[in-house]
Amino acid sequence: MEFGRFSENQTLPLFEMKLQFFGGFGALAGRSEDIARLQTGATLFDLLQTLATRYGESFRAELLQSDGALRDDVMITVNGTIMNHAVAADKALHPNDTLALFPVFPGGG
Amino acid sequence: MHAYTGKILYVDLSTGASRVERFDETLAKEFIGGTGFGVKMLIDTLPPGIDAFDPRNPLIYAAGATTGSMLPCMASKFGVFAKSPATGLLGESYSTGQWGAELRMAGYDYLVITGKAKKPVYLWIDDNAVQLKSASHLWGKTTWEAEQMIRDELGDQNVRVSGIGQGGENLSRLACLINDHFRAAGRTGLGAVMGSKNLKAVALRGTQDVTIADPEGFMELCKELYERAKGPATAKYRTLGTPANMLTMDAQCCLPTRNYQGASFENVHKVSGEVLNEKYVTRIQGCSACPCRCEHIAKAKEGIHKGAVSRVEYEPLMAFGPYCGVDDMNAIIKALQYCNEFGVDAIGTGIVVGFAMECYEKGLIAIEDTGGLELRFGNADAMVEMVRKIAMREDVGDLMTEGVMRAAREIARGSDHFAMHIKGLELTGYDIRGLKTCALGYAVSRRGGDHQRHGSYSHDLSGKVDRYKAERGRGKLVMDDEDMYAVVDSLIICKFTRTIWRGYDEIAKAYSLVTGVPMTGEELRQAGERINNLARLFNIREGMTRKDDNLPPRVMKDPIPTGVAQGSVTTQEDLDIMLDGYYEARGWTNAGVPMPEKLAELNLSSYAALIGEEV
Amino acid sequence: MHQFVSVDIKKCVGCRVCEYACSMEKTKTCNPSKSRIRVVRIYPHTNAALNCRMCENAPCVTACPRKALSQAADTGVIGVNDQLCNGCGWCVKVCDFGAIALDPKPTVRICDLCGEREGGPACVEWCPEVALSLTTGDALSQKARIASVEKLVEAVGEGQ
Repeated sequence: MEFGRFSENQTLPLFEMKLQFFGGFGALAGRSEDIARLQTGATLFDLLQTLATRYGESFRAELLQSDGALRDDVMITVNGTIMNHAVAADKALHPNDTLALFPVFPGGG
Repeated sequence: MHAYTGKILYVDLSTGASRVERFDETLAKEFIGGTGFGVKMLIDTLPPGIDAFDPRNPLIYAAGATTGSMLPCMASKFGVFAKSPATGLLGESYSTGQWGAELRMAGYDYLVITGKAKKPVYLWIDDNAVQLKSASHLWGKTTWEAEQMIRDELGDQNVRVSGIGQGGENLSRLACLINDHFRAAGRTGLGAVMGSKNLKAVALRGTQDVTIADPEGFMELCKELYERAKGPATAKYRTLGTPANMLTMDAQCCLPTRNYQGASFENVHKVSGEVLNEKYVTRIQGCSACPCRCEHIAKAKEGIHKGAVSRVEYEPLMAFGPYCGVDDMNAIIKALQYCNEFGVDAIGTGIVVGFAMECYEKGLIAIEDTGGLELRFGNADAMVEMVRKIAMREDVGDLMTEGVMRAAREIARGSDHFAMHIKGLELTGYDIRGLKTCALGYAVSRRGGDHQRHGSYSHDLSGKVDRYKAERGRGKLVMDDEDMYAVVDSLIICKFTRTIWRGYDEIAKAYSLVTGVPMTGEELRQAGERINNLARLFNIREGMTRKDDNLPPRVMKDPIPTGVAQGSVTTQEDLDIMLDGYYEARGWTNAGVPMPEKLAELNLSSYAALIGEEV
Repeated sequence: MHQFVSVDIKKCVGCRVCEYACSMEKTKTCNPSKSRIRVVRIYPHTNAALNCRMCENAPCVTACPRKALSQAADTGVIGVNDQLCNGCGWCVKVCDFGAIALDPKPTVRICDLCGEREGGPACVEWCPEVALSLTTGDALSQKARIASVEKLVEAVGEGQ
């Protein structure tokens, strides 16, 4: 899968990173792993918005609230480190990074 | 009032007498139902300092405020309360299914059972009529057998039963109360309280109305909530369910493995939620009036445990899977079936078996003690058999059934280092060495080692805070979680669906639509705070101090060995920083005692004597 | 052919929302024992909600010793004359589906397809699993025929 950030400068180099989908995200994306090719400078938030569009409405609803913000009960890691949703907009991504999405189950079990 | 029956049934098993008392809106407004009702009744009726098996220990059932109505995901639950045989402090446990609604329809919000019957009995409530019937022929039967026998002899297959198996009869401190086959009021050993009273079960039949204050407004609200409850907010519970946590927890080194020796499991892929659903789940069914249907029923497919059946959630799967080093799903399902049939807490029993395994591997107990079982980590069949031995008090099961705290005291030789409990209640499925906010939640939880009173792992796992750092400010986070959950556990909202609600104001409106009792969002929030403070007073009265808000030695001293959280521990120093912040946020002294101003603010000044103040 | 509410046993999860919806519709209270549709759960996980099938030549009507029950010719809905009903329970005994129940008045409770209710039967509207449908015997057998052909085609391939 290939996508990038729209920009006037179409010659920005692309890089690859890995995507891993856990729990329901895998079922909704139709796969448990994928590769993304991004333009240099893409942030975590850019990537998540694009995934939400790429994998359809149910995936979007599992990841984002109706106002477009990230759901509180989703755990996002980049290279194993849990990402604070509030800094997702600024978090820059790099070649060979691994993004993983997990559902978290508030309450009980 | 609507929905509330306004009636409390007191039953004295020693004399066989029963009486009904009424309560009014005042109690409802301040304590709501469920937890609030349970804690209030317990502190008011339990003589201070008595043993949990003393006949005077009241076994209290309390319905949620909206139980028995049609309010989505808020219509089926009830709580059970007593002094806990495991902790000697507040015993509380919640269950769902069909029994709770039936209690309301039988005409009661509350059951308060005291005394001890001379011979085994069961309590039979047929609408308002109350009878004690002989249970001599039921004693020694599993919970499933007993329920069927009760239904057959009463001639009604819709009779709802909450009762004990051999675990409760044998006064196991892990004993629980099973209803509707697969549901449990699981933790804090309340099944043993029932057993100590020679009580086998509480059987109900109710045909009375649960009235609604504003039927039209109510149906409109239900329609709206149904849409939300069927939507993305709850989708994950209705598909993979909580077992999906296995891979999540493993990836982040939060998955207690081999009695907390590790925080991730090399064979997790054999016991993941994905595998469970793909190969073992036969049906997903629902609780009373709930549109969500999330009860994953699984069946063992092959081997000697083929045919075993149980509901499977993350916690019990963790407890009998990675916690015991076991990767055989068939054995895990059988272990869970045993827990349901014999009536012992699935989480606690798994933790106890894990402890026993470490004792065995360290040579602290031997094969003569285990009745010939090679009780090593990973030995799935030994694990299954150990559940039975614990329920039946056989061989070393007789010691282990006392829980890890007491077992470690007896075994000594350093075993208390890895006895994973807080206040005498076994820990649950989040490795709190690498989840600091969650660690605080566990340390201060009013019923002991538990995630259900706070759910504070959500902060650590959402990345909003640094999961590896102990900060004073975590205290306020845990406090807010606890107060919200006290409201949730009083109404009783199913925690799986908490996110369909948009805040206290909306919940308060729904509450008033159903009950007719006026309530604002702030009053609701304050009720939650009140309940937590009253619970704290109860525990203090029963002997708890700051030093009981602690963490097990392994959590404080043995770092997570591998993975992203490698090296993590939560030290006493970490805990003290967070505890100071928590007590301050709560308006308690640095010794963890509510201050008079806080009690006054919450209208609890009548209990001020418990903190050494003049009333 | 008479219409009736039918349950898909593969979809029913025993949640009892239908019972609550029916009792709210009929009595404005939550009381499954007053519901005209009742859930059966057999452990570990068999669930079905059952109600009146609007039988042709309904046995309950025939059995009533006081002729208190009648069946509407067009819809097949069973009606009860409260003046005549004495709560003897013969109708309950002869119903194969346990779909008729005694009410203390005395009278009986039985599904009337929610009469004039906008949107049709409440239970069908509320079922969260879409396990209930307002259907006829013909429609059910047609569904079964289509499903079996689809299964056959899947097994042997199209155009065989």
